[in-house]
Amino acid sequence: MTVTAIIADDEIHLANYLHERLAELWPELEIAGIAKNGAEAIRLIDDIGPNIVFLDIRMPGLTGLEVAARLDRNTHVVFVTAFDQYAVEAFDRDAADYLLKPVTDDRLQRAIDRLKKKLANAEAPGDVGALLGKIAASLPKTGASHLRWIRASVGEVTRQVAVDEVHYFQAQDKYVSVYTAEGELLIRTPLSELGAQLNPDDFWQIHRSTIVNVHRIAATTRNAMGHTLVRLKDSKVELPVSRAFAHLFKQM
Amino acid sequence: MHPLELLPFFRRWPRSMVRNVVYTMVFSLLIASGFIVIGLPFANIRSWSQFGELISANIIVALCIGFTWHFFMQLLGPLMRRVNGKPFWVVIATYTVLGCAITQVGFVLLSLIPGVQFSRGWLFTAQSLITMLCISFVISLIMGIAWRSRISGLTMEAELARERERLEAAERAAVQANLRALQAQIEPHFLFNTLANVTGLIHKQPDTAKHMLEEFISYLRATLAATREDHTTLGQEFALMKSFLAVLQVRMGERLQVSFDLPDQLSSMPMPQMLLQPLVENAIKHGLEPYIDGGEISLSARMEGPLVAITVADTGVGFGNTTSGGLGLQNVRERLAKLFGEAGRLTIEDNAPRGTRSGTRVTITLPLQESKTQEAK
Repeated sequence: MTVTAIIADDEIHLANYLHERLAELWPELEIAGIAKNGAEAIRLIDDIGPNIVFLDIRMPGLTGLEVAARLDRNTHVVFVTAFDQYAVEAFDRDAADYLLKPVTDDRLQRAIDRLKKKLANAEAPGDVGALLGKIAASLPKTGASHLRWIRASVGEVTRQVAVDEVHYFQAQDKYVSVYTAEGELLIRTPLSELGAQLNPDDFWQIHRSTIVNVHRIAATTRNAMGHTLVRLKDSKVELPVSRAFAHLFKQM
Repeated sequence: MHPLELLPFFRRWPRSMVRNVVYTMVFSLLIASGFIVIGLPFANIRSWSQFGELISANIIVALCIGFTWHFFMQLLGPLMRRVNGKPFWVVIATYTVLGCAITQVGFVLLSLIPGVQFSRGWLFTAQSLITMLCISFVISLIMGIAWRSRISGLTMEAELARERERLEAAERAAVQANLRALQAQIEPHFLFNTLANVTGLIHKQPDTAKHMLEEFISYLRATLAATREDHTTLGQEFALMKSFLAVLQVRMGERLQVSFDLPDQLSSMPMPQMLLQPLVENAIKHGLEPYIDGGEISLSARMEGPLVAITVADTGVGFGNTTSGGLGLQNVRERLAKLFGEAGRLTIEDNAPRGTRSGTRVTITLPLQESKTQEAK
C-alpha cells in the first residue's frame, strides 16, 4: 500500500522545500498535492484522503489548527510552524507531531520514523480535537477586550473612528450618531449592542438614547424642571440624564 | 498641623489626638523654659526655694495658657485654617490679638485654681495687656516665619517630586517604546520564516536566497540602528519598509505587490522611529495575509500645508464593522498625540482603488519638520 501525504503551506518555497526533503528522506511517500491555504487543504484532503497531512499553522483563510479540527480520525497530522510558542508547548506528540521551521533533516527523520511506526502498527491517529482543546486552553487569555475602533461613514467616505475620540453617541431613528470633535458620523450598530461592547469605565449610558464618554463630561447641572443635565467639555451641548441613570451622578 | 511639627524631630509620629495633647504639653514646657531663661537675670533670686517658685510658676502659667490655646484651636480649627490662607501680616495680627485674648482667659482660669497665688494685677490692666501684646506679637512672628518657610519648603518638595515623577515616566515610556520596537520589528515568526525560506531556496534558487538574505540583513541593520536612536528620517523609514516588504515578497510571491511614493524633498525630513512599521505590519497581518489572493500595499507621503501625511494603503480584507483589535494602530495614535498634540493624527478609511473590494487606508499626519541639513545651510 502506498502512503500518501499532502502539504499545506502558504509560502510556496517552504512547501517545495519540505516536499524535496521528504522525497529524499522518505522516497516511498507519495506527495499527492500541495495546498496554498486552509480551504485548499480541506478540498485536497476530501479529494485524496491522504494518510498524512503536513499543516502550516498560520495560513490565510483557515489556519492549520482549524483545518486539523475538521479532520476525521483517519489522517495523521504533522504541524509545521515557525514559532508558536504557546501552541508548541501544548503539543503532545502522540496526537500530532510538530516540526519547527526551518525544518532540519534530523528532526524530519524522527518525525518520519514515528509516522512509519504508527502506520505499520495500523495505529489510529491521535485525538487531534482533544489536543486542539488543550492548545486553546494554553493560549494566553486575551479576555473580553473592549471596542477600540468604530466603522462610521461621513458622506461617501467610511472611516474607522477611535472610540476615545467619541464625545457621545445618540440614537436617532435608524442610525446612531457619533459625535466627535470633528462633527457627526453615522453608524448602523444599535445603541444597546454598542453599549455592551464599550468599556464601562469610559462610557456611561445616561439616557435610553445616549451614551457619553465619561472623560468628556465637564459638569452636571439641574434645569428648572429638576432634571439632571450633563455638560460636555469645550462644547455647549447639554445632554439630559434620565431618572433611571441619575444615580451615576449622585457622587459628583 | 500642630506647631511642634515645625521641628523635623516631631514629624516622626503620626497625627492623633493623644499625640497632640502630649505635644501641647511639650510645647508649653519649651515656652516655659524660654521664659525662665529670659526671666532669670531679672528675677533677683536669693535662695533655692525662690528658684523653685520661679520655675513652677512659669510651668504652671505656660501649661495653663498652652492648654487654653489647645482647646480654642480645637474649637476654632476650621476658622483658623481660613485665616492661615490670608496675607502674612493679617495672619500675624490675628494670632497676636487672639494670643492676647486667650492668654487672658488662661489667666482667669489660673486665678480660679485654688492654692495658686496669683497677682490680680495681671488681669485686665493696661500694663499687662501691652506686655501681653508684645510677647504675643513676638511669638506669633517667630511661629509665622517658621510656618511660612516650612510651607514653601513643602511646596518645593512637592514640585520636585512631581518633576522627578514626570521625568521617570517619560524615561519609562521611552524604554518601553524601544523594547516594543525591538520585539515588534524582529518578530520571531518573521525571523524564522525568513530563515526557513533561505534554507529552502539555497540549493534550488541560490540567487533568490541571496537576494532575500541581503534584504533581510539590511532590514536587520536598519532596525538595530533605529532602536539605538530616537529619530530617523522619512527616507530611512521608507528604505526600512522596502527591505521588510522585499523579504515578505519573496515569501508571499505573487500574493504581495508593493509600491512607494516618496517626494525627494521629504526624504530627509526627521521623524520619530517606529511609526511606520506598525502600519505596514497591520496592513500585511490583518489586510493581505488572511486574504487568499493577497493584494497590493502602497506607501506614500505628501505635504499638506504645514503637515506631512503618510499613507499606508492595502487592498486586503478591510476592517470589520466594529473591532476590538488594532492595538498596534492605537499605540501609534497615542504616540502621535503625545509627540505632536493636535497635529499628530491617525485616520483609518476604507480603501477602494478598484471599486469592487475595499482594503484599508491608514494615514498619519505630523508637522513638517525642517531637515537638519537644510538648517545648516
